Amino acid sequence: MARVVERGERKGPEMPDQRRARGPGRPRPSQTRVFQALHEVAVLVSGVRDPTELARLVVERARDLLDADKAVLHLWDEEHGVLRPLAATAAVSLSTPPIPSGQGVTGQAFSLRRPVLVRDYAQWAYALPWAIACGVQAAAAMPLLVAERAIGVLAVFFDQRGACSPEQAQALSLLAAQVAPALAAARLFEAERRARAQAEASEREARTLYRAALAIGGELDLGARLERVLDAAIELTGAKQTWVVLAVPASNEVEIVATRGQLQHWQGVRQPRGVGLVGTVMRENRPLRVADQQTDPRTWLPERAHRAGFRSWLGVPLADRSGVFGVLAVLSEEADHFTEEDERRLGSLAALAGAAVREAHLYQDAQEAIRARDEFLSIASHELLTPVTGLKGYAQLLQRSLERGMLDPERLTRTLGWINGAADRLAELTRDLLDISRLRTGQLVLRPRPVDLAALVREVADRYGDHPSERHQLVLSVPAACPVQMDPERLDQVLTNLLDNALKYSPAGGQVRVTLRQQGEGALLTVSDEGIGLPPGAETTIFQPFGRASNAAERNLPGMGLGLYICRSIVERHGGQIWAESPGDGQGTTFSVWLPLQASPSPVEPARD
Amino acid sequence: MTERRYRVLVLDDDEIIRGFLSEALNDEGYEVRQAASGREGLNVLQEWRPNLILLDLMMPEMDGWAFRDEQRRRPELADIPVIVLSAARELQLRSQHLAAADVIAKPFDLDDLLASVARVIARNAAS
Repeated sequence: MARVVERGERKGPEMPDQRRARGPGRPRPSQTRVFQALHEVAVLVSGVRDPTELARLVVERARDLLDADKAVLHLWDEEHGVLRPLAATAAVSLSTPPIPSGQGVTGQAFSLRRPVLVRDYAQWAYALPWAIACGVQAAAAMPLLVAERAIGVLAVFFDQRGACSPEQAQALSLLAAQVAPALAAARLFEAERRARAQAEASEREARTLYRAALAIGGELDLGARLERVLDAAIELTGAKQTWVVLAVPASNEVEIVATRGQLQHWQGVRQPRGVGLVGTVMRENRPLRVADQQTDPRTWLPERAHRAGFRSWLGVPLADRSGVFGVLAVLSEEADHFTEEDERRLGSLAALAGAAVREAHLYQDAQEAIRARDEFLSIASHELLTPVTGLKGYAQLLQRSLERGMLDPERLTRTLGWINGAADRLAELTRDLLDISRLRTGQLVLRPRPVDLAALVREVADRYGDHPSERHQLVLSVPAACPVQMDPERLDQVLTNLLDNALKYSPAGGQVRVTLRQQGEGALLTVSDEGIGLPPGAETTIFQPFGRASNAAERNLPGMGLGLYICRSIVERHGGQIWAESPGDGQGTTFSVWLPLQASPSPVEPARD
Repeated sequence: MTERRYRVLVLDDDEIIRGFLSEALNDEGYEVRQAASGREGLNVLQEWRPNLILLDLMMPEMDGWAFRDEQRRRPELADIPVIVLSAARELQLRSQHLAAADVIAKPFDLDDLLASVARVIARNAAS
């Protein structure tokens, strides 16, 4: 025992402070105890793989061996440049502040890579005030050295000044020397285990995303793709409630288009674009994690959120190169449920799903366009075949009557008149189709010149006469003159179309009123009838290509749904506006055309001085 | 001539088609009446019973399908044979439900149509 101590005295730790002082009455650790402790640590080292567990056992051995009051093991945190407590004896809290290199016995031992023994801590230059406050009077610290590098510090503390002999310190240094490599190995092992767990988690996540990509790609239908997105959102975040919101095309709203969990009755719910948490995500184009949507100031209709009972909200934007078009969100009844990791994973899914959802959206659009075209072809062919049937029928009738000697000049004249009429109608339809084609390809050219719109209105109305049919009466209210700059042929086309419509869609007859007056910087023309009116929503539909009001189709009134689309295009190209108003089905319709007095039709001629 | 002429009702919303069909049928010796919609057709049938109806399908107010339904529902009208004339694309498909004596696609050959008219009337008169 004496030899060990002597050797320790000679080769032992250099004590920067009070190195020759002796503890008053503190027993020196017996050789047996030191060996026993070292042996125990050796056994521990081989058996314990968890560095924290190992450190906890080591601090206890150190305290017992040195009869200290406390013992703490700190490890160097490379990333933050501080020493952090890894384990401490029972009485010590691990929430003590991290220690910078050079401060306190721990910091000194670390920076000097030498043992430090302090027997009057309160007077020591590097003492930590909070350690003094904790009652530390004496302390010893040993660096944990591995291949000349300090990885941490094992320190013991005494409540009594002058405690801790150099022999005790030496025993501590032996303990530290033995534990350091084991701790380093355990740490490495732990780091590797964690890295492996992380790699496994990443791989699992990647596999989930890959499976999701395959599943999403396996569907063409938007609804089916969204279902696969929700599946993946649930798998990645463990959420039970999830939904997808998409911007409604040609509107200022967003709509919940797919849901899972208790959100089913939210399917189809719309809200204005830009409001609430969804609006925030879409506006800022980045994920938003809300601990409690019931109290978050950004929540739209918080009372509704409260009724729904959900608290945590995590939403990520669905976007492609053209911008954000929706939000994928997960919800939980538990506050602050979702983690940064959930946010990252959901973000990955959204990045992956964005293009696919967009693609499906486009596919749906394309399907819709194909359907509209097929429908158009069906209607168009019917409309075209009707005059062709008339032409063919009358031609054959002429032939038959000629063969039978029944063709007198009067009949010939009348029949040729019908043939002419059928040909005119055929030509008119063909012109409409041609106009549509030119409008769609942007080839319709306007030839504007100064025109008296009032004269034009009277001229068109004269073509119909006061009684355009047995059942209708035409009433004009037009000023003496109304000069505008426009393409008169195109405006004639608009006016004729509106008057034809007014007659066609008031099969029961009645008055058709045409008014013209100056309003603001423009001329306002209205055509009103007492006909079948418009069902709600049809005010916009009828101006779409092939768009017809449902009540017109129900009543089987002939028409291709092209006239008003052509009108709208012409009026808008003149810098004007066209709209329809109706109190409802069966209550008549008023069409209004507003044209600027100084129309600037497109394409505009370059101005010349 | 005391023998009653066979009667044909022409139901079509297109004036030109009604016109030449009426003329052609008149030339053949039929007595013809016209109507521009299913509704009008039913009105005519109240006072004038034809031997045959030439029926267009796509008409305003009451279309050919609705007219045919109504006609078959009324016992006094149900047995009047119908020849369907239509340019509707899905004609072949949808006309199956019409139980028509013949279905003729527009535009048609006048000779063929008149032959069909004569055939249907003769068959009906014989039975």
